Amino acid sequence: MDPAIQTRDLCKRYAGRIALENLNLAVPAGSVFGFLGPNGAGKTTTIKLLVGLRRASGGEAWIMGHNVRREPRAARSLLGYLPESPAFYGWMSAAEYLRFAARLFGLQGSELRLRQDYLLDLVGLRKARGPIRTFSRGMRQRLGIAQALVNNPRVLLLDEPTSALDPIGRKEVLDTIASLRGGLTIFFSTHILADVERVADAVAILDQGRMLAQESMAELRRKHARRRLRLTVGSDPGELLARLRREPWLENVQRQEDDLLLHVKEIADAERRLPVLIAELGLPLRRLEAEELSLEEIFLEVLGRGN
Amino acid sequence: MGIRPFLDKEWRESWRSGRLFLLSALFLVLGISTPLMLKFLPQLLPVEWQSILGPLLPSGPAAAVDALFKNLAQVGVLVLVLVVMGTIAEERARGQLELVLSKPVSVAGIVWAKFAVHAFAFLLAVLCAFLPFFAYLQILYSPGVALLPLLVGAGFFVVYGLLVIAFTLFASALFAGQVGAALLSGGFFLALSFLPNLGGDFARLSPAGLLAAARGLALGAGRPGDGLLGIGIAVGGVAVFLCLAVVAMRNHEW
Repeated sequence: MDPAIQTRDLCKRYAGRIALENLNLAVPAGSVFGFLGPNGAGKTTTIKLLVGLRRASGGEAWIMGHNVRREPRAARSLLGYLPESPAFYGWMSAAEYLRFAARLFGLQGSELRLRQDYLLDLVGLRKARGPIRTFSRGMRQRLGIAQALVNNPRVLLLDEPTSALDPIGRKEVLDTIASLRGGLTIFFSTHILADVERVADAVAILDQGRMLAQESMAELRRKHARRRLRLTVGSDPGELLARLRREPWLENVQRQEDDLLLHVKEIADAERRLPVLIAELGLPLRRLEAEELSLEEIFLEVLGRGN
Repeated sequence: MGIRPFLDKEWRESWRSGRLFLLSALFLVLGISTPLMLKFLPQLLPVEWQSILGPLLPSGPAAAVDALFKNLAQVGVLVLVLVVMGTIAEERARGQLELVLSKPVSVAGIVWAKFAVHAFAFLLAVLCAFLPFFAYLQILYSPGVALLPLLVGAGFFVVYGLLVIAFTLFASALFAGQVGAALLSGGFFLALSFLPNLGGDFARLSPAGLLAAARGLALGAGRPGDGLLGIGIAVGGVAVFLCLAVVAMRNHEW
């Protein structure tokens, strides 16, 4: 199946500064894709390039096979977009704004009214009668999601949808995203790892305009889990620690109470050498297991800022 | 998508914000106060000054028409610039346009809708100035002025105002803030006002030359052909500045 979102060598430079460098992205159709990165990594720039709100300095991008630069209208007709801080016409009500947004996609009459009612129900704003300028931030964000869904898009682009929200607002938005799973491709940028952990199927990690990883969540965990081992021996591991530090396959080792936490470069070497070392020192082996890293640890490791 | 959703939005926004009536209210005040002031100012002066200054003050329908055009062309147009200058710049600064432009819309539709609603508000305001002005002239002076020539003169003034609206929209599309748009529009407005002072063809062909033609027509002194070339140039300017506004918006990175 063709990817819902694809980029090839996508670049963006601002006055000599590289904001995005040769981004090659392929987001599977129907997935919930987390676009992770620290502030200033280039996440918003990427999303704005995909929406066509900014022009790429190089490379190409496609939404459902439509080239964003050459067929902007076709691409936009298939996507919904929510910026980090959506700005509405404050004098309109939620229903009025949705009607306005729907008309921009050519919806009319009963089709428009049905869509408006469905979306107001979906985001829990059916009873919000006042003008948008009186809405809380969470309500605005939910209205933002509703307007992004007004055209029943195939691809939903959400830029930091939860970063400015309190825990309740965050939960509401994540619940809404989770409820949309399967029906469309959701691409959301964030620096909140717990959000990705909760709803994403796959992630890309971006730092300083460069993509460092792009994998499914399961694959990312599997790869990085294999690189950390937890070892427990029955007596003082002091001598073992000293021997381990001389081993070339070991990246580093930490002592956590009775356990040793080993970050290894080559898992095969570790698996072969560890039992030998333990046997040589005559230590009783209590536990040796590959351990799963938290997403935060994986993120820091990919960024090269981990242990 | 075409212009209709934007027209509808602009119309409702103008109505609810009261922007639609702001200019009309000001023009109405100018339309009423101008003939009244000219007629009664001499009587408002202290008695000892009346004999000295009274004969020096302009009076009569011609002076009233002249004063109205001057007031509208200065205060009225300045307020028009202030009303229009934030139309695009403000929506851009707030991020409202970013959300709209993420949809498959026509930038030209956005610009033309804004122009159309501002133009309508301006037309309404001009009528609010000229109709009561005409009525007061009939009451205060006998004879006043003929309605049709006065309305033709008002029509010339409307064309001048449309040019100011189009240029201000262009300035608003060019700058991220209202201040830049206001400065550029103000500069343009001053330049327009200054052009006829250069004399010769500038006086005849410049859009501001329309104002002189409008005054002449309103007083029944001009010929219908007067200012037609100026109208052509102004209408061409409207089209050019609106196209430039569209180009400026398309080239902007959101």
